[in-house]
Parts: sequence; C-alpha cells; structure tokens
Amino acid sequence: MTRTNVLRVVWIMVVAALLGGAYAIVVRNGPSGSMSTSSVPIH
Amino acid sequence: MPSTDRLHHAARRSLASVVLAAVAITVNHLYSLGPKALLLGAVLVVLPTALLIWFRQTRNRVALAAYAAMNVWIVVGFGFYKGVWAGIMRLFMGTALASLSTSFPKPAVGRYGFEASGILMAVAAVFVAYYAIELIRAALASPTISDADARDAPRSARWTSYAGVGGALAAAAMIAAWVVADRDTFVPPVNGVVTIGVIAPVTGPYAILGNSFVKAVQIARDDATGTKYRYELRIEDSGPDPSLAAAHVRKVVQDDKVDAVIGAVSLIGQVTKPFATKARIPHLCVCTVAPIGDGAYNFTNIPSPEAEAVHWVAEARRRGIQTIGIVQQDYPSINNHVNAMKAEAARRGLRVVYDNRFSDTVTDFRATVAAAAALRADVYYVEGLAPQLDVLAQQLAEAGVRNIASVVAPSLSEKPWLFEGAWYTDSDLSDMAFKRRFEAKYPGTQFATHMMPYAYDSFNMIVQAYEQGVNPAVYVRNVRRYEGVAGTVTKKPGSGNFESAPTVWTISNGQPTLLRDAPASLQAKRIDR
Repeated sequence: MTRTNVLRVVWIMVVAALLGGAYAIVVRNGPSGSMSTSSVPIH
Repeated sequence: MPSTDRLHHAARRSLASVVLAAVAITVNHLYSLGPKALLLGAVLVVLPTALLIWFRQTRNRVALAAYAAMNVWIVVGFGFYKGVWAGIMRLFMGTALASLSTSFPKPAVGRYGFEASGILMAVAAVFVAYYAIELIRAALASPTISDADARDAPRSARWTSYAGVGGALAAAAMIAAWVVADRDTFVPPVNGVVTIGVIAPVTGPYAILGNSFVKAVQIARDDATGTKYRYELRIEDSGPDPSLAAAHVRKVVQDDKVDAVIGAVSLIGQVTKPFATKARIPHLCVCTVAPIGDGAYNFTNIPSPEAEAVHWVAEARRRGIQTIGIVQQDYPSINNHVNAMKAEAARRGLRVVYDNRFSDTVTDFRATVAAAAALRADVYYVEGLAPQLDVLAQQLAEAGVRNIASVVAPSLSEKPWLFEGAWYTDSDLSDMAFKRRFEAKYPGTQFATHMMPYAYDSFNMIVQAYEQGVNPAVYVRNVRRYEGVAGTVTKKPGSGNFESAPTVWTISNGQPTLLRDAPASLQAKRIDR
C-alpha cells in the first residue's frame, strides 16, 4: 500500500470514528426533543 | 506537469474543497439560521468561484489574495473555531471531562445532523487549507516548477514529519486550553456582593404565582443574615409572554451580569436557559418541564406532574375512591396534571367515568355540573385558573357537589372557601412558620404554596455555594439531597431535575391546610357506599 493510500485509510478511519462517536454521544446525551405546544406547562 | 496545468489542477481541487466545505457549513447553519443558511452557502460558493475565474483570466494578484482571504475565513472561522473548537472539542472533550468531574459542565448536544455537519466542516476545512496552499504555491511558482518539484521531493518527507510533530503539539495545546477554559472555578464576588436575578411573570394569569414567588425569594434574602457576602436581588418581571421575555432575560443576565438566576414558570425558564448557559451561571427554575434542567447550568426544582399524580391517586385510594369525574380547563399545565393523574389512576385500577375539558371562554358550567353529578362519581377532579376556577367552584357548590379534589388549583383560588372540604396535592411545607412569616410580612399577597418553598430553597442553595467558596453551578451540580422548607429534595448524579414529593392539602375554614394538620374529620374522610 502506498503512503498516500495509508494516509487515506487513516483519514477515513478518523472521520468515521468522529462521526460514530458523535452519534453515540447524541444518542446518550442529545436533545430530548422539543416540547409540543400541548405539553407546555405554565409552572 | 507544466506550471499552467499544475495551476489549473490545484485551482480545481481548491474550488472543489471550498464547495464541499460550503455544503457542510450550510447544513450546519441550517440548525441555527434556518433558511438564511442557504444565503451563507451561496456566498461561500459564488464568491470564491468568481474570484478564481477573475484570477484565471487576468492573473491579478488581488483576485488571488481575495480568494485566499475567503479560504482563511472558511478554515479559521468555520473549520477551526466552529468545527474543531466549538464542535469537536465541545462534543468529545466536553463530554469526557463532564463525566470525570462536576467542575466541568455537560456540553449542550445538538441533533446528530448538526453535530455531524460540524465535524465535516472541520474535515473539509483541512482540505480547503491544503489545496489553498497548493494553489498559492502553484501560482507563485517559477516556469521551471517541475524542476523545483524534483528538488522538493526529499524535503517533503521532512516537512511531513515537521507537520506531524507540529500538529501533535497544537492538539496538545488545544486540549490543555480547553481544560482550562471549560472548568468552572469559584470567583469571589466583586466588592463582596452577590447579585441574584429573580425572573418571574408577576402580571397577567401568573400574577398570584409570580408575586408569591418573588416575595418568597425576598424572604429568603432577608433571612440570609450573618453571611460572608452580601446578597442582592435583581428582580425582573418577564411578563407572561415568552416571545417578549427574552429582552427581560437579556437585561438581567447579559447587561446586569447577575451571578445566578432563580426563575419561575417553564415558559419563561425555556427562554432563560440559553442565556444562563452562555453566561455560565446557575439557573434554578421553579418549573416542571424536565428538559429545562440540563444538569450543567440549568436545574428544575418542583414536584413533577407524575409525582403529583402518584400522591393524588394514593390519597384517592386511601379514601376508598374508585370512580373519578373530571372537569378541567383546557390549559397546558392542567392537561399535564390530568394526563399524569389519568395514567396513574388507570395503573392503580381507578376509573374515569366523566371527562369534560372546557375552554377559557366558558362562564356557565351548570349543564356540565349537572351532567357530571348525574354520574355520581366518587370524586370530582376539578382544575382551572382564576377567574373561571372560582365560577366553577361556585356552581358546583350550588349544585351540592362537595366531593371535590384537585392538584394545586385551590391554592391559586381567590375564593378558597368555595372549596371547603376539598382535598388536593400541592408542594409540601415542612416549616409552616414560613407561611405565617410570609403572611405577616406581606398581608396583601396571597400565599400560593405551589412554588414558594422551592423559590426559598433555591435561593439558599446559591447562598450556600458562595459561603462555602464553591462555584455556584458546580455546587448545584453536586447537590444530591437538600433539606429545606419544601422538605427533602433529591437529585440523581448528572441530573438537572430535583425530585420532591408533594403532599395532600385540604381547605379547612376557608384556608389551605396541610391534611396532616387538618381536623380529624377531614383527614379520615372516606367514601360512603
């Protein structure tokens, strides 16, 4: 494998890890969804 | 490769990377700017393209410099600052640090599309930077560029190593900078004065709740004597309309730079939340919408509708109640209470035999009351807001319907004697002296139990943080159990929602009275079959 291809593979792995990690964090800590008007309490 | 070909090749690649970055930037900004992001995307595509065409046709260095400036904007502004610092670092470093120590706030996490496009923005910016450098080198190269390439070849490996080491050092510096910047540390108040913002609607439909709330905080402030620091309140009427509340919140948080905020009512709490997060100050919201409490800077502190429902149904069962008739105003908070009560009642085997939801224009309830009474439910769940609540109570009394129960509502009634004998769940008051002191101090203000003890306790949490020399947001994050005038409130690690149990009240001699303090005849009342 050429040096360029190694760099490409590393790049793809880094980006995939970032996107996958972000997905895991969003699933765990992400927004719980905006409230619908019908469920907005006053207090 | 001839230098002209190399220039065109570099230009094509540079422009392609700019377009790809513009796509990621546009998608990312759709979440914050909405359709206006498309305009931003158009600028990021059209302007560099035009500049590059100008440069291609004229070889004008101004065109090249302007194109380079656009690239710097994309790389530094969108790629590094928004993509890496505010995106990747916030998401990954922020989450990791918050899991290790409560000195670090849990980062606000957006939808996946937003977060993923932020990452792609950073990745695309790397390509933009790389190909922009290639283009500039090609543009500045001599006609014997091919020879120069040949001479550069052995240097390229060395430069790659330098770039690798430099990149690692930059990454380490950035991580260190993030750790320092992200940590919430205690800062002693200027001149020993802690200013606490009190943001509540004290006019309109919230007048009773809001005024009670503000005065509860004022009592807490007056009670805070012998303290190391002086505590001042910055009271602001947010008004009842959340769309107009942002200006009030901005005035308190951004202009007056308060050290903490105690807020009332979920609709206003939702407006306050992003301001508190940005200012990195604790916002204790006496409100029920759980998502407001993010556990970083925003916390809710009041019994949830579900907690009210559990206690309401438990009391109903204790009284032998099996059937429920519901007459309720169609209003968000009331709907929440009723929905939670219905779910809990169904779970515990109680039946709803009558269910009427009236709008805020109804003033004659006699037909509704007659229909409800005909079904002979064991109890009638009644909830509404003044003034309709009192009209309904009056017409129920006239029809002889006395077996009434509710959640909170009778404590907000301007004519509580109309609910004589009714029972309802509401916030606990472990210290009734608090109510007596309030009534002595503010004889003209109705004591609306629901939010007051939590307002009082929330103020004292902030005071305790400063007196102990702890950053107030970190202090509140660390609270697991708090004993105050609202009784015991607890919070799970990492949660932004304090949990507490309401208790059962009744109207005795025209006054809200804790059921445990009420005459035995009211306490032991059971359904006669």
